[in-house]
Amino acid sequence: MVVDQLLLDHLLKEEANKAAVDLAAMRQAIVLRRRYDRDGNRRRLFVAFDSLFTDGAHAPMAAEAGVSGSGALHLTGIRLQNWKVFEHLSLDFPAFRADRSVVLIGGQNGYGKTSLLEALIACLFGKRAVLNLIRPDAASRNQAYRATIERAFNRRARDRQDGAMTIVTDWETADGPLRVERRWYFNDDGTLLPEDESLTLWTGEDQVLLDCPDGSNSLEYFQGEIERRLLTPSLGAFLFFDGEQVQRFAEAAFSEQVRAAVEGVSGLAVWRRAVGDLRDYARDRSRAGEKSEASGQDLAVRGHIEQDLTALLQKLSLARARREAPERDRDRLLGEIATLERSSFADQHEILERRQANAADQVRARHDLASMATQTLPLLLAGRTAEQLATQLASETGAGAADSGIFRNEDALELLLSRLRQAGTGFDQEDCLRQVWNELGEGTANTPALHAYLSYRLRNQLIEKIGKGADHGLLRQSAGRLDDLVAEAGVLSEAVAAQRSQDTHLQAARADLNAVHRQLSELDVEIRIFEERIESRKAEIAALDERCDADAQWTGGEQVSAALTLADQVEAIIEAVLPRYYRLLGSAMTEAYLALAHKGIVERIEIDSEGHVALLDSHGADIRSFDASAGESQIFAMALMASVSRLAGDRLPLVIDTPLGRLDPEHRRRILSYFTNQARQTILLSQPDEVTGAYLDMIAPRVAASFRLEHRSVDGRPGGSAALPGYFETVAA
Amino acid sequence: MSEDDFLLSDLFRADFRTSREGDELNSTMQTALGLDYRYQVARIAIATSLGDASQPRPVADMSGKPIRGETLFGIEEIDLAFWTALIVQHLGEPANRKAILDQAAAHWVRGARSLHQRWTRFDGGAGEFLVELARPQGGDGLRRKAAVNKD
Repeated sequence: MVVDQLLLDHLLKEEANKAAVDLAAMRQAIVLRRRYDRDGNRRRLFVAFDSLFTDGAHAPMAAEAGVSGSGALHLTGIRLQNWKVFEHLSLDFPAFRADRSVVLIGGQNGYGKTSLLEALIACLFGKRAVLNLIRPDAASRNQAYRATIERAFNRRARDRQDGAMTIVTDWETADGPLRVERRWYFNDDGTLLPEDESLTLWTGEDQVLLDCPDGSNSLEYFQGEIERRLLTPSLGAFLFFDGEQVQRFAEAAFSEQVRAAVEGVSGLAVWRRAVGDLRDYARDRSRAGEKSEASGQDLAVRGHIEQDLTALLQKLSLARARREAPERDRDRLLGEIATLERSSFADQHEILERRQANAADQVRARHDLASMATQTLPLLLAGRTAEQLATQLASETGAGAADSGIFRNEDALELLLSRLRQAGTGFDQEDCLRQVWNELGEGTANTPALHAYLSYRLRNQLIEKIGKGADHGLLRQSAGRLDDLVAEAGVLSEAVAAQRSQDTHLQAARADLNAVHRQLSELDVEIRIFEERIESRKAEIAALDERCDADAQWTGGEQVSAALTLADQVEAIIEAVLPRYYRLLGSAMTEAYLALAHKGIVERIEIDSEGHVALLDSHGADIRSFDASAGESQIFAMALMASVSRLAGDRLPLVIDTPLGRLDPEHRRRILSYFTNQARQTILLSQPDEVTGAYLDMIAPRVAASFRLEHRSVDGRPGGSAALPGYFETVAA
Repeated sequence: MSEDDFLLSDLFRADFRTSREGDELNSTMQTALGLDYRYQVARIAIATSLGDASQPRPVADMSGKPIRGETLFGIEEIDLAFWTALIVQHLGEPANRKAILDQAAAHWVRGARSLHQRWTRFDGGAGEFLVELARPQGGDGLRRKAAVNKD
């Protein structure tokens, strides 16, 4: 069962038709209050009401859509900077799958589970949520908000005088991606200044910055966009909650909670507030006697605002001037990068190929040179001795020339030996014969030869060899080839170095460009804040001027009468619609309660027109009059949360901190089963002894991702928390 | 044949050795010059020493690793004859087999020392070193690098 704004619209139309009331003016009043309602200054809204009730219905304004279309909305990431225990945290969640819809985040007490939940709420709803959900008992709205945010500012960041705290949440919506960034700025002493809060939205795959229409307060406008695109704070209370705190719902005034739930889901709260605005407007416009005094006060206020405006304009001018230098740097770097990128990959590839081939050629050339050097070097190195050898050999050979005759002929010796072997005479003095033959060839038996061991043939060959000398040419050629390769390698190395240097330069230029972009982006944010404040001041002045004009033109009570009539009519319609809503809520609560509570006593839940809840047994008796245990109270509160969240359908995500609290095992099982078997993203923030063991096994098939929060101390003192992938596996095992 | 006579064929199978120091320097230079075989360094070392007209000091220990004659000087008869003749010519007197082995050992270690000294002072790579050694001045003009020891 889904009780959403479409159903509300349908019921309202039915009741309006019955009462013959045109709701167009009321719808426009709601649009106007969204546009102009701001803290402490409702003048612009009332001026707009003046026009509404003076001129009749406006041309249709852009319809204020409710919670947008169908399709599962889910959180895709959250990033924190200086929020509570997290100096830096970045968590990315997987894309939503209906069959794996659970994200499990584990952490011990104090490690930041609740801080994570609060960050989500603070990011989306800022002051509204911080008041309603995080500090529900705070008396003074602004004071409580400031105190809450200042306490949330990370202590170490404050000591460092960081100056800013940021929460970014990324969402996938039916209309595509949406990024919400809320940032608070602090003084050096950690105090938050009024209006030192910015809310920025980006939409679509390309992260297009959402613009605020002229004349609108950006914080309010973007807040409205969050409520339109995601969800309202009142509905958020039933979707993002702390399981241990839900008993407050059970222990506090039930009727109020239930009424808030119904109105939150259906949007009736907006209608009620608009009725209140109309009555305030009527009261304001009835105080004719106070007009002149008010005008005098307005003039004084206007003067102050103008002074502030002048100061802001000066600051804006300075900020814009500071933007010029980084802009010039950006243009220069873009040009530089374009030039550097012209050197293509193909060039680099060719150089590296050539370098590789050169290296292989060098190895071959060195080997060839070494081999050649081994052959050639001895003749060159021992050159003088070789020359002496040649002379000596020539001398020894020449000295025996006269009587050597046939004995110089080696071929004749070989022929003789061959014949002796063939003769088969058993000749075995071959060496001796060679010796004698050679000596005879020397023909100088009287002069002992230095190289007597050399045959005549060898001597001639040696003389010839030494005469030829070493082949310098080949060696030089080989060395030259190596020199060329070495020289080419040098050139190629320089080219590679140049490429690397170019790459380094390119990377440095890109890094510089990124830094300049960040600088420009920060300046843009600063400029935008100034512009928004300036616009806000101008709008306040315009509103004051309009009010003065309106006061001057005030003619009577027609507008007051029209506003009061409309307020009465709408109130009557709301009262007629409420019982039907409560019946639907009662059915939804019955369904949820029966799924969660294991005692079969409660048969149905009913809610009367005042929001009173009755848990009826089979005899129609209200068992709430019995004294329920704390666990049972929690079950009832959980059933309320579950049923209300169900009213909005499965479209919206659930984030539950400490979901199982002090429940008994059976209720734990039921609660887990109920919340994790819905086709919506469900993020559970659990203690180590909570979702573990059998409970973890039970939901494991539906877990899409799990993380655990760890605390890191710094120098033995409390440091900060960080998120790591994975859960308490060891505990679970 | 007298006892001083020898045949070249005896030297083909003979084991040529030098001192331990010479052997170690041979290994060092083989690595330094990137040569594939020990005999390549040994040839260059012996030739280097043969380029020095003075007589090398005899080697006492002869405990280096052996290289066969056919490996050290070449398997062709003319190669063995060339190296043997150079050694005998440098000695200046007829030599027998043992004297040739001793002379080869002495030239080997002296040449290895010389090569190593030049290398440690040389400012360049192995290829360049070999090219420089091959120049007509026999490597005397090697480029020097002051105060840098490659070891």
